[in-house]
Amino acid sequence: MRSDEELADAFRSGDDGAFSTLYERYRRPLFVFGVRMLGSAQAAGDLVQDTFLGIYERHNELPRLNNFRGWLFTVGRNRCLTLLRQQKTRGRLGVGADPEPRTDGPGATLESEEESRLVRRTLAEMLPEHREVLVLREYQELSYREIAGITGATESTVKARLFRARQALAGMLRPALERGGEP
Amino acid sequence: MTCEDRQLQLSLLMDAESGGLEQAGLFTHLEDCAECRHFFDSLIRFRSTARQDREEILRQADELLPARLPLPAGPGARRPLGAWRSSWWRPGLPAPAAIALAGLLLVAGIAIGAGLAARLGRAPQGTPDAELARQPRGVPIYVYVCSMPQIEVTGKSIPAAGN
Repeated sequence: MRSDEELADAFRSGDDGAFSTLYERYRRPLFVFGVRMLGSAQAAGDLVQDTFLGIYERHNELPRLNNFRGWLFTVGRNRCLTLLRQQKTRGRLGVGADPEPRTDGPGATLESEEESRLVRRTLAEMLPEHREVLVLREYQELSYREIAGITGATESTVKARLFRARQALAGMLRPALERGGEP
Repeated sequence: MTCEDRQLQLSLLMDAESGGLEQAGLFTHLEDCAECRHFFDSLIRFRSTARQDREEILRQADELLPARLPLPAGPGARRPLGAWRSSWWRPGLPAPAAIALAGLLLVAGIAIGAGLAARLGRAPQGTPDAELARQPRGVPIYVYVCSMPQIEVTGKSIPAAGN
């Protein structure tokens, strides 16, 4: 299997097939990031398509990459922050705007449904800089170094932000966890 | 060591970024401290719920996202259709508008050419232009020598080949 970086090189040389492979490889992870950053599946779908179309359009400007995934998430993350700023300016809260997704899978229970809803609401209420590190860590399972590369922060800053985000999370989840009893 | 320090260690432990952290003391503290226990429990519950949530979102992704991005066909067509939105050009520019634009450019070209011809024809006697106009053969080369505050214009000609 060709690496992301080989595919990016091939795409830069005019190989549209390589671009399609990169899209197939990363459309879903980027969508997950977008949904939890923007709070809307529709907005996340637009984010994925706009990001990839933007890359396709500017193939000549595509830099030589050592880490395509990190670079892609940086591009996606910057788009997310721009969209969030625009939403804020327009006085519209986009995060958490979608209706509740279906949780009718075989393992879905009332408890997991409630927890899922609670987690979405908690993420939506967080500061974007806390939300992004938490989503990149917990949903994408990226290392501190990778998160630092994407957010343009140092590893120490990522460590600190993640800790602050988790403290905020614990504070927001406390009433629900206390209602539900100790595990 | 404060509870905040311990919670930072728990946060690092969750991510396997704790290095050579001494864990035994940390877990002993968890048995005694409800605050830190709640913090650690929150992290575990959040992680578990986030993983379930991710699976649900991935299912949505398969429903919402096209398996392949629609790209323009043909070699060299690297600019996708969606990109036209931000461009001044529209592929559907009506033919009459294009013809009118071409006509305008043609008329402008003729006018400029005629203006230049008239300028050469009106050149007064004794000027380099007039001297050149009287020379029937050759390709004129103009040499403009600028010397402030005046501009001196001189002209020369190269005899045509075979003459």
